[in-house]
Amino acid sequence: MASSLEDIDPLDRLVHEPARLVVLTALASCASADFVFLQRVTRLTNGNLSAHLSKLNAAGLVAIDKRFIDRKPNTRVAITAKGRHAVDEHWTRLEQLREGARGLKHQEGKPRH
Amino acid sequence: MQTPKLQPAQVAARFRDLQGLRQAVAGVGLLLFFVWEMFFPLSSSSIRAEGIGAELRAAAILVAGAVLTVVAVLWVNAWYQRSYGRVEQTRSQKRLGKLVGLGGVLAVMGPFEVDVFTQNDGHVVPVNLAMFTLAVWILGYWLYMGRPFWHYIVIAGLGLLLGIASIAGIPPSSFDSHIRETTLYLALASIAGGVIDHVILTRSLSRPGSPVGLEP
Repeated sequence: MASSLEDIDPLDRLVHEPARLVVLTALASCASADFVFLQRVTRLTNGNLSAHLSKLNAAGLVAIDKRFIDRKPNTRVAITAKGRHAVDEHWTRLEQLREGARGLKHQEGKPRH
Repeated sequence: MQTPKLQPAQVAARFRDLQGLRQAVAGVGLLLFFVWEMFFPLSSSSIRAEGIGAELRAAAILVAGAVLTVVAVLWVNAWYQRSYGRVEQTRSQKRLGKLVGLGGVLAVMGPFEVDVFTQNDGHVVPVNLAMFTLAVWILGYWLYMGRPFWHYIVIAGLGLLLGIASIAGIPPSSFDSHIRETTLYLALASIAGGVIDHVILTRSLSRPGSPVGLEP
């Protein structure tokens, strides 16, 4: 019998990376957030967070806006419609994966006649 | 008991509300006002006894206290932005936040208006209505903030107990006692709730150094 896990689409590696998933999930529940907040949420260093944001920006999942507030540079990041769709889709796939694994466990637990 | 740690999405959605030190500072301002008012009562009888000079002095001190509190709250706000960053809420989050805030103002001011109205009529409301409405509003605030913020249930429960005590005549009902008791309760509730919210925020947002993912 084919596993129900085989029916699940492969995970998007760009979104699946833990730090990027945290960034996208946090951004999906607000209008925008700045670099300092995202750094606090992910606990990444400046360089690492910048690299992750660049990848997400290049893929069109987030929009980055560099501005000045009180003469100090501030980087604001907002999730795009494509990014919102990608992260929703990703969580759905993860849920499917978990459900699939539960189903397998359930089948294995059944007594054979 | 340990305070809860929130998920990134929860922190982002309630970021402004979690900046509890602003609320705590406003509570300290209110507490200082309460203490000052105990020594120099603002009741109409004491003002009548001391004349218009006392009224002007009281108004000047009130305005100065309010300005100092606002400046302190703005300073704390700027500190939060420097330390924890900025999050812009969605339109629906902003609308809901404003609605909750308006509810709080109405919960306090509405019953006081009833007190003033009946006082002008020569009567006294036998119950501290503001304590009940404020406690009910705090329960609503808990629903708005979410299950981990159980400290608001404790604060609301205390308010309900004080409201019930007021039915039994503790403290004896008068406009002045209602306003003093509610001010003290609001000040202490703001300080306690604000400090706990701040602890939840700091627990949820650690400093850089222990990353969730290093592979860029």
